[in-house]
Amino acid sequence: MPRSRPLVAGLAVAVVATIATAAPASAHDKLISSDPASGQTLAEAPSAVSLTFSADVLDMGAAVVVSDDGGTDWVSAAPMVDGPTVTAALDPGMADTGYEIRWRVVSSDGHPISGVVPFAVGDGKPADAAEGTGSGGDGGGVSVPDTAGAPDAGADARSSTQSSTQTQIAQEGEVPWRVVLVGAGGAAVAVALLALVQFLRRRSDAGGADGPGDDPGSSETV
Amino acid sequence: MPAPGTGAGSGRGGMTGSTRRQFLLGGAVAGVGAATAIGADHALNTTPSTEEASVPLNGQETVPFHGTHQAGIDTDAQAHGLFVALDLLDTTDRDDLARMMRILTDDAARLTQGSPALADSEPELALSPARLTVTFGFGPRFVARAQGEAPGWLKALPSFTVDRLLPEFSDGDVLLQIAADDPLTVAHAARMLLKDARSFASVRWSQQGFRRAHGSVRPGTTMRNLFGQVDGTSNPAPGTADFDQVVWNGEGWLAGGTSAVVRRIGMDLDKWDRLDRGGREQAVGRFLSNGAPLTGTNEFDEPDFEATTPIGFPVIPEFSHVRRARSENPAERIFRRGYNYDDRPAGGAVSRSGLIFVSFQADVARQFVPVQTRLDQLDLLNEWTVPIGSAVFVIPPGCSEDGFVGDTLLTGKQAPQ
Amino acid sequence: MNNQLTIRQSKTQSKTMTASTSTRLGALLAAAALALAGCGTTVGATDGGADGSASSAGQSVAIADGWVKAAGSGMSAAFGGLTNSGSGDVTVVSATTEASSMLELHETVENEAGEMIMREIEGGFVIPAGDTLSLEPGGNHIMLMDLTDPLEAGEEVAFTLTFSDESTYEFTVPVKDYSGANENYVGGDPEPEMGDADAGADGTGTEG
Repeated sequence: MPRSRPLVAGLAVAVVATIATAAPASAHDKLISSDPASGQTLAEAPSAVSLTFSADVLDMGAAVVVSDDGGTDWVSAAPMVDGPTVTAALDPGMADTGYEIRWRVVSSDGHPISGVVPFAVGDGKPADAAEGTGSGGDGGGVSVPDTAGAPDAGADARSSTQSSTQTQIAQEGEVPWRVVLVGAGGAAVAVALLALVQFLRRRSDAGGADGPGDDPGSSETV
Repeated sequence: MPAPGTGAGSGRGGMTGSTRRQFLLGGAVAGVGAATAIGADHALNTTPSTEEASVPLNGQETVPFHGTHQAGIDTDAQAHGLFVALDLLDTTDRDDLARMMRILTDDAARLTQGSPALADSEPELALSPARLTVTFGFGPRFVARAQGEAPGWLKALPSFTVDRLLPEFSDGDVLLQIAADDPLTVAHAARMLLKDARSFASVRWSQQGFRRAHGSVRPGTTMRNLFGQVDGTSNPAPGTADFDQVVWNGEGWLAGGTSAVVRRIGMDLDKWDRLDRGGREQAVGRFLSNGAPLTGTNEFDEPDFEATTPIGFPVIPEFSHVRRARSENPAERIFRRGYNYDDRPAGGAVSRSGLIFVSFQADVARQFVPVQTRLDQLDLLNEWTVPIGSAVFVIPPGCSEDGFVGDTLLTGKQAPQ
Repeated sequence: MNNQLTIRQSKTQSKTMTASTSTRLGALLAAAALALAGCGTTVGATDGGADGSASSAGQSVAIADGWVKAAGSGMSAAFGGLTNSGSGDVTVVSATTEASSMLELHETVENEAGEMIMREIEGGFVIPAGDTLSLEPGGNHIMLMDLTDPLEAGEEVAFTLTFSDESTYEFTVPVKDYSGANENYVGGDPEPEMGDADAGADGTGTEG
């Protein structure tokens, strides 16, 4: 009993730590504002969208998509990076409906980050922010470091810490079976090899010095 | 692969060593069960017999010197690599070059096989070759002095915008790539060769590099650089037709040779420290854990550049190193065989480290330059790396026992077939 | 993968196979008979014996790992392992080469002060049957007293040894750059300097 309490406490700490580190690392730049803002409904179609980050982002890898419900991208030209601000011009003729600004930039520390900012035009309704993760408190939308996960490896936004944790869990879950299978297979092969080795040894002991070990091309040749 | 166990009792350390190593490797791959069986094998054979009384020493392992190609290119990379560039003396003419290469070839032929060089003043240091290889390369001026026909690509690389090249790590007339699994072996071989070269040339630069020590990881394991990245996954495998096509040149006196690009790449580890794991993986496009592409699970999985994140951006960013280094053109491939370096820190920093990037390819202009041009234009990894040295050499073919490295250039001798 | 040439002489092969744990330097030198591989060096024997015996000294002796020290002018020295594979002792009484107008056979001995000095050997080098005489810096060597031309690294120099039975043995060795082997020879004047010790300090002016 006296032992289990520290253990439980330790687990609790570990869980808390995991949750804590699962939040977006503060080293990356954050989206601090956007135009339109997250959830905003505009009376008229905008001619451009702009995103402002907490620091100058790299003039590399910035990508912005403004997508309507049907998946049409209304961005008309490659986004412009100016210090902390990324601007993307839009095609005219956007209908009254909900849109998403999907963005990705490389933050000043070299870390790619991405996110979604919903907005609407006219009597359209903004699309829901991505569900269940993150907070909209970064000035709107969801802003997370891009994950290094497989594309189908989970829902929307995860931190890389979560991602790698999940990966590890998945691998550990596999290991016992693989060990058993590989071990069994290996044992079978090895036993066969062992028999062969014994057989060859006996034969070469009997047969004298004609072993195949003199093959000059056996290894490490030019 | 010879049958396991046939090396037992052969009495020659080198062969016994390789055979046994391959057997052990096979066992490791087979897994836990195999390890048990190896134990059984060991128990069965140690009790009555006198075989395998001693553990083979990796210091006794040798790599053949003579042959169609020079060693040290398709040789599984040794733990320690030293790269030395020489400047020819103004007085060194074509005949001198032949004399120099005769002498250096003889030194290398002996030392790589575990024999002292002629006039070796520390002959005991030669007795543990530890897979020593010596690979010779020639710079543009060497070929000009030899009055030979230089391949069009034998010249300094085009200047790239990322370059901050220092003369003390660039160019040179002769390249010596000296590599072994023992640093003392490398040092002795280098000294012997440089003593014999001093009548003809002077040292221009020298770069010392390392990988994992011998025996630390399985042979053939892709190296890691000091960023922690698995570095060299997409290399063609030595011994395959693919490798032969990427690496060996077939033209004229160069038939059986290749080219070497040696670039010193400073890596800003302090800046890299500020980037978290996910960001590091995106910069490269591979997982740090095992080098698998971000769209895969195993190191050698093919990257899927079409895969996108839930909001539509590429899982492997288009600016990641692996994406940018990959060409649609299958001809634009190279074989990398680099080494890490870790210099004494200066100026208050805690590291001054990087990579001695070494690549072999049949044609620098056709294979290397397009790749580097793409990386120069866009590669997120450029945020943490800066090329500070660069040199291009032609690597002549190997030689036969009655010839010397460079004889096809210097005497018109036919390349060994 | 393995396109390695197989122009291996049996003697050379014995060299490449000696990478065993138990290898000792001496064994290496002895086993490396004719191992001047890689430089196109040729080794030839001339039978100068008159008696028609199958084993004149010139036929019994072979050099391994021979070399001669590079020098611009003046003196130099030649080294290597001379192995007598015959059944009787042989004696080298003289050596000649076009590279020097005068050669001497030198030995190293201890003088009364306990210093090692070199001097011309009386009666020549005796190589017992089955034995190897090592000519090496600081030890026995063939002294080139007066070079006719500079000896440049990588050149090859032919020597002819003459034995007490008047048979001869010719061999060719490469020239090597070498800082030691500053053997000086000061005729009968008892101020000889030996070999490699302290060579850097004062030996350069008369570098062999």
